[in-house]
Amino acid sequence: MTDNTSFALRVLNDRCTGCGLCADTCAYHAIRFTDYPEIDPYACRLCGSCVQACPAEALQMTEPENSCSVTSSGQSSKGIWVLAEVENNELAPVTKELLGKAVELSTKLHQDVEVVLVGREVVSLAPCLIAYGAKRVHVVENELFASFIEENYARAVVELVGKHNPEILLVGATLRGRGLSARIASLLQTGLTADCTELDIDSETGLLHQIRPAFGGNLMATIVTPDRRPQMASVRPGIMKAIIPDASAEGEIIRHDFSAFEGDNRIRLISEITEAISEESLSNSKIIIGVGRGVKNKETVAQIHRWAERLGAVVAGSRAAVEAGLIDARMQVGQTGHTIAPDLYIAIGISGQIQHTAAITGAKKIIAINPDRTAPIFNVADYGWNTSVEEALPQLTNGWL
Amino acid sequence: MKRYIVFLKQVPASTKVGIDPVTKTLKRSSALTQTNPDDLYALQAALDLSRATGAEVVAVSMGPASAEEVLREALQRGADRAILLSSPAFAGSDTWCTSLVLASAIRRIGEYDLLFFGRMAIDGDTAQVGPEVAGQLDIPQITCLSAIENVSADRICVSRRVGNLTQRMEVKTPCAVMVSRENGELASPTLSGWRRAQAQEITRWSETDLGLDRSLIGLYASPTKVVTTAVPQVTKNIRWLDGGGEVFAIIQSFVQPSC
Repeated sequence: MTDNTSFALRVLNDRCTGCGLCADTCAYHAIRFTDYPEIDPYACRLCGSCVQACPAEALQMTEPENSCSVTSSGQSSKGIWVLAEVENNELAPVTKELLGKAVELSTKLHQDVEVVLVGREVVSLAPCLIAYGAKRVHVVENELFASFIEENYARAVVELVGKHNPEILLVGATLRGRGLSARIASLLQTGLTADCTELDIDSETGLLHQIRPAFGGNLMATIVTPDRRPQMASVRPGIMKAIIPDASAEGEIIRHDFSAFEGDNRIRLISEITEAISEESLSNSKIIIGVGRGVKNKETVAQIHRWAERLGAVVAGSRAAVEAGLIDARMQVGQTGHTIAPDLYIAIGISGQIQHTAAITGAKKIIAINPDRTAPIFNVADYGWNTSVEEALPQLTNGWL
Repeated sequence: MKRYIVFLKQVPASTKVGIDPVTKTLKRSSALTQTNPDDLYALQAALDLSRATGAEVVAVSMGPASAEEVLREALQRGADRAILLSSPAFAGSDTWCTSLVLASAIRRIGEYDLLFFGRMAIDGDTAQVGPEVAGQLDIPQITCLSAIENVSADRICVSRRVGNLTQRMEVKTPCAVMVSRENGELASPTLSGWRRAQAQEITRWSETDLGLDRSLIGLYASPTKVVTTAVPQVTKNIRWLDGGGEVFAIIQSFVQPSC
């Protein structure tokens, strides 16, 4: 038996009403309920769900014994930083979105919005960042940053962050940003909340509220980084709104000298190809048509493709459709594929598993077409058409100019 | 002697969360019953490679005692040995603290060539732990893997796909590789593998074995803290449509928003 007095979760038996809610709530089956809850410290992950669930406040998370060991770094840190993402010499849409959010946060936190811009010849992008809300752009240029090598990018950002000690550092939760942000956080020994869908400033503490879906989107968790700096979050693309760019906005462009920067010699790039394909169109497209397993064959998919072309829409698919060979894996929408945020999403024959619906929440309007009226896709849709694909498609495609 | 270390996490069979209709509280009844899918592909990648190189494959899991099941499965599939990192002191660790525990376990295991991680866990969806471990150990990280092309004595040659960017690179070992479902096919477990696995011991390490001070790990040491968790509110009011005409009109309004 472990030394239970040192375990952070405590049960106050005299308050317990014996309702058993705590045991029901526990995702890890760490609570055995007899007369009172019994916590298995080997199974408990201290997620705090039971503490939140208990109506009698009989479960408590104890405070660490020496809570005075709070690091002082928080006091000198300043600035809301955004790590810019550059692809094909252009700013990724997520960078503008992050700036929009950062501007909003800065009105509450009263700190400047600053950007780290890393690349080969990227200084020309700095005015655009200022137009989108940056007060200061830190430009880091070196031939080595022409190729996206996480180890090099991470080291450059860490060096700059170490010098300037920002309060917050935001990164896009893109294919590039995910692994890069994790490496940066690890090197900085700070916390990182992945794939946030909302950010806010706590009005009392001034801490960054990092809100993200957990359990495949079934839960929303609010997370803070109380002591370590910067407070880091990666943010899901397509959700935050960029501001309307103001070309007359003023800002400072600081070119840092990274001419002596040495690349990680453990990594040798053999070749690099940039394809101009569909990936782009998923993030830029105003209308996306999602194909699910309810679309039974390739002929129907081909029909949808022809229709999409006339609409100026892009065709993507659910995991089920990808597995059935109906849709290219690169066009998969879902927790393991792309998250999308078009103006209109048309879900055809998609049942709406949580992994899929979590990835389409950024869509402004959703039309769902499905023969099963109870399909979960209808819970997130704005418009529902309760019919089969076979019925629906001719009506949609016929007569479309 | 070559060595590959594979990290596997035990996750709930389903991530479904219900709400008790009376009390409006969460009901999360799904037990921890499966190995995180991506992690199995990470194991497979290590096993496939070890057939050519003869490397030892070590399976590691951090979690409660029940996570032994995940390691047992790894042994059945062909891992040479398994280590469970389990202690109440680990509870509440965020990705940074988890990475610290894993990095300490790696140091304790000793020499290694490659670390294999699943790209993402289905209950956390962070895709952070692999790169964070790589960062803590200061070794290269290979994300967005498309294929492992070959390995030599001290290098691994891989291709990766980051959006529309495809890179081929040669990386010096040791390094960490993040593997996902797209990277291969799982071999079926065999009866002989099952028999062998039943006879194998699973090593168990706590923070003491890893030489980790309790103040560095777990809930209190984690840089991030969960303030609240809540079931997302569905506020949408669906409008049911009767036929193609209506749908047509709505879509039309998006195609020509000015009309």
